[in-house]
Amino acid sequence: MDLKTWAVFVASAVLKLSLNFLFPSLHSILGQHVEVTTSMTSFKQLKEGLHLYEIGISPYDGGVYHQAPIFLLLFKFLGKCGSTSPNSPIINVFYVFADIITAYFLCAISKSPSLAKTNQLADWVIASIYLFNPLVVATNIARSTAVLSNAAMIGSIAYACYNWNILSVMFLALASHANIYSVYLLPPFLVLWTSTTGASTASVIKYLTLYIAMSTGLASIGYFMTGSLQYLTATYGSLLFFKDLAPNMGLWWYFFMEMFDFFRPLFTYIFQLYSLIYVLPITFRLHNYPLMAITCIVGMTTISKSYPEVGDLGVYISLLSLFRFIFPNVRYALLAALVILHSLVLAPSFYHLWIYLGSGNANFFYAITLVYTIGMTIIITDTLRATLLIEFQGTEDPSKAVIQI
Amino acid sequence: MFLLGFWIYLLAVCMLLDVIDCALPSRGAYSESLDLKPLPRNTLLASFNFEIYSDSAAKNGLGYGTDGAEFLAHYGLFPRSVGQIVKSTQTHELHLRFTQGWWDSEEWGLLPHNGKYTGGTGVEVWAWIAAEQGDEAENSWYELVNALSGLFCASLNFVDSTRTTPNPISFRPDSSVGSSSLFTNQTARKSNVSSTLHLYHGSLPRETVCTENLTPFLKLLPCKGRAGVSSLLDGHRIFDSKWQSMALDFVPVCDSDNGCRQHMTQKVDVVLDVLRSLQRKHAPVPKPLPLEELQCDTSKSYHSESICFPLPSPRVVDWKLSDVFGRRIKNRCLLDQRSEYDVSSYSVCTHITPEWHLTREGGTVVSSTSSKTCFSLHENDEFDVGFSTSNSTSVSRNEQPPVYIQRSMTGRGQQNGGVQTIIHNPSMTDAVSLIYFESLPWYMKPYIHTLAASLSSSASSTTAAIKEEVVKDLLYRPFLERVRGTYLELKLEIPPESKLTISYDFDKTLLYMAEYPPDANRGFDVPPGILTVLTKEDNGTISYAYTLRTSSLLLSLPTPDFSMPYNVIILTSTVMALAFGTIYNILVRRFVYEEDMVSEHIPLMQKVKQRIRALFVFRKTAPEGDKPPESDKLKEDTDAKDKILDKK
Repeated sequence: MDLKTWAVFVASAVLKLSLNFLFPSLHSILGQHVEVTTSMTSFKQLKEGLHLYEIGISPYDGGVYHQAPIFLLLFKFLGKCGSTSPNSPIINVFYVFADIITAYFLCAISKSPSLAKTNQLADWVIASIYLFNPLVVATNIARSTAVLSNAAMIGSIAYACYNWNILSVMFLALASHANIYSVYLLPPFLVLWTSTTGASTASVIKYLTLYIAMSTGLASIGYFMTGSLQYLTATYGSLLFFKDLAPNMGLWWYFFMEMFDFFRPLFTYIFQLYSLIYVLPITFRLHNYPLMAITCIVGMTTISKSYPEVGDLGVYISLLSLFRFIFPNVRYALLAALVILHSLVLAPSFYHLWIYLGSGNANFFYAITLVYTIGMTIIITDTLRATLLIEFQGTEDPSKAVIQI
Repeated sequence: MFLLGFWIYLLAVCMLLDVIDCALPSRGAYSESLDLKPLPRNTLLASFNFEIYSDSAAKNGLGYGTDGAEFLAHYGLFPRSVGQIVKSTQTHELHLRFTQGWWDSEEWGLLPHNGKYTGGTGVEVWAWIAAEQGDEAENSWYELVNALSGLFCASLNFVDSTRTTPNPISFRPDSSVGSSSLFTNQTARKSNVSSTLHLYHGSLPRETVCTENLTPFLKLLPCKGRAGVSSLLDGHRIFDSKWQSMALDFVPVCDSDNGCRQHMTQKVDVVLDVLRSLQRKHAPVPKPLPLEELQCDTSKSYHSESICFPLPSPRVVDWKLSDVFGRRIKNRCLLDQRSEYDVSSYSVCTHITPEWHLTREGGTVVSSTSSKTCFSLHENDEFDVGFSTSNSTSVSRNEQPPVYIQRSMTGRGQQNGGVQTIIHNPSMTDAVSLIYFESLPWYMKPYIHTLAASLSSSASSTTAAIKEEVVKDLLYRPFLERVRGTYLELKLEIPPESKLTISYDFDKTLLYMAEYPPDANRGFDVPPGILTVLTKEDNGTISYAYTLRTSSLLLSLPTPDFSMPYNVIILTSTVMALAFGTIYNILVRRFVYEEDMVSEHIPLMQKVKQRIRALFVFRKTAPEGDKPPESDKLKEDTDAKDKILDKK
């Protein structure tokens, strides 16, 4: 970790703290943006859940709080140390720290034995791609709890890269407790964890058991906190069956809003299956590059999950920045960047037209979410192809003509 | 001997304690009355009151849970349609309200009957249901509202779990005697399980109250609107009013001597705009007044022949009851068996100041004071009364209400908003304690942690009060999507001469397309908040002294494009298929170097296949003479693919 990286860390902390200090209402403005937070990560709903928990009403016996019970514990603790107002010093420091930790993990991954032999970007570049990404900054200032689940996920990757597998399993269990879609990362992680020992059945079973045990342990926290398993339906049930119909950057909301009642359950299963169906093929095809498999699955989940937010894209881009060796093979970087940029600029404007001005309708925002999905698809397919090409070419001359059959 | 002594003792106690209760006839009874009271700005408050007592039931209770024969013997004047519904659903007490318009508290003062018989905008219903278990009671409740829906031609069947609030503390049963013991005894004898009373409250703020509700309402009366004061009730006039409220209350009355009887109260309170009604009489089709009849403020500088600033409503008025209601009171309802000439058994009363002058047609004056004159009606007679005064602003004012309330939405846009309720205690000396009840639909998602209360008094500037100072107690049940709405009840105490502002934030949500009503962009109605003023009696019990309601709120939700379902399904599916196709295309295909595609070794089967294909291509293109270049290429491609497959 060189001086430049530390400078980037400090600069990002200064940026976020000063933004919060200069614009004290920024967190509530960003917190209202449906692109930045969803009902699965919203800080306002977290505060409501915390309030209900503190006045003795189960936060899960109602439709307002859908986040994991561990956040209640964490923020209750933070509240005891200071206050849970979104602009209080302790929350400020906590969120800034969470982002810096994530950036630190990313730098650590890039230095890990498996990636170090390839040509890597400098640490400070990787750190700034994450820390100064406007999407990540916005998510952080909006106090989305996705910041924390993403930190856990990146941490899990980092520990796996250094063979601290037990810690990695623990962090993955934590990440999937907070965001159930992280379960999809389990197959590539199994590849990653067993990469040193060889993929024997015994070691796969060992890590799988460990993961299940830890997840169950975390799940039981919720049971002991609320005294019932009702929280499972309020959190994961709401996520899996898409109970809270609110606009976001994903494909789900408008589809289910317009869907006929009779077909709604069928399409709920199909949509969940759709997000799941990429996991195994990508893992098998990229078994030599488990990190890339993780990145691709993260990218795919970004568009196929029920409550996506733009912060996920920030994490995906940061993960991509670790694979410098595929950059020469990426063909549509400009196109993808323009499509994504186009959607990110127009999404808030069209949402504003629909919700506040009334001069546009829901189709405007819906169209932009489609464009966003197409942009993401371009990036994912392009990087996937680039990786497979690298794998195929190996050490051979890259100038030889290659075709796909 | 002992028994006789006991009876004498009982009689003595009865006579000493409550002469009237003991004197109640065991047969059913009916009484009706009408109170007329001019209000400021040429409005008239007319309060119709109808009371029906059923025949006494057996001493062991109301006959619930028995085979029914016993119960049926006790219908007389009592409407059987309601009685049977109430009986089959084990309803102990039923309250039904149909209200429309807005009661102007500042102008008109206290609500009639202290707001006890007034509902929120639309239809409101609450009932105590006797059942052993909650879900049993809940089923009875839905059965009850569905039956009432048919009886009163109202959409009460839409009172489902999302519009029902169980057991709010803002309501207390009217029946004082053994409210729960009555049932406990009754059912305990049957099943040895004590049943309890369950309160359910539901409201339909969007329901439009109209003649189709009034007609069945009148049919419950013994004279069915044909004779007596109920003959005045004409839908055209009642619903063309500034404010009107119809109430139906079903309460059991028990006393130790006569056993239990059912008491049904029906009330209609209307505030009519007298001038509007008169205009209707003179010109049924609205048309502009002739110039000479216009009453203009001539003191205005711009007053001219063509410019008229209308005067406030005229002070000199002269009208009759028949002008306002469009008809006279016909006959007397003979089923009202009270004496025609008894002072206490008046039929029509007027409440006026000495500046008013009354003229009577038909009927008899039974009592007369300076402020109140009462008349009785006669058989085969038509009754009318005329009101005239030179100063119509002089009216006998109602008392000032103990609190004023107003509620409004704050914020903009269709994503979120806030609700602000201002409760004003006008009293100079007394603090007032209240219960404020709100039930919100589930698609309005409040954040209870944003609940804020601030006090401002006229003496000092606004002070942000600590919430705990004013909010003594908070009962809250969060909403659950499509299952139940939010229920919020606050116990408040407001110091004298101050205004309390309560506010909270809420989120709006999207609904499934089929859940939007036909006119989705009109908005969704939020039921009125209910404010109950508590007073402490001398003996320490707390009584509910006054009830008033806020107006309902209109909540506008974001809407989808209703014409889009197929387009959305097609577009989204296309994008998903696009992603799926491209990614699987990359995953399942292999990379090869172009130079590796040519292979020398071709197995026998492949050769045969190639021959056949070549033949096929040749034959297809043969008639044209020479081959097009594409077919060559195609052939090569096919060959190459076959080769590479072999290789692998």
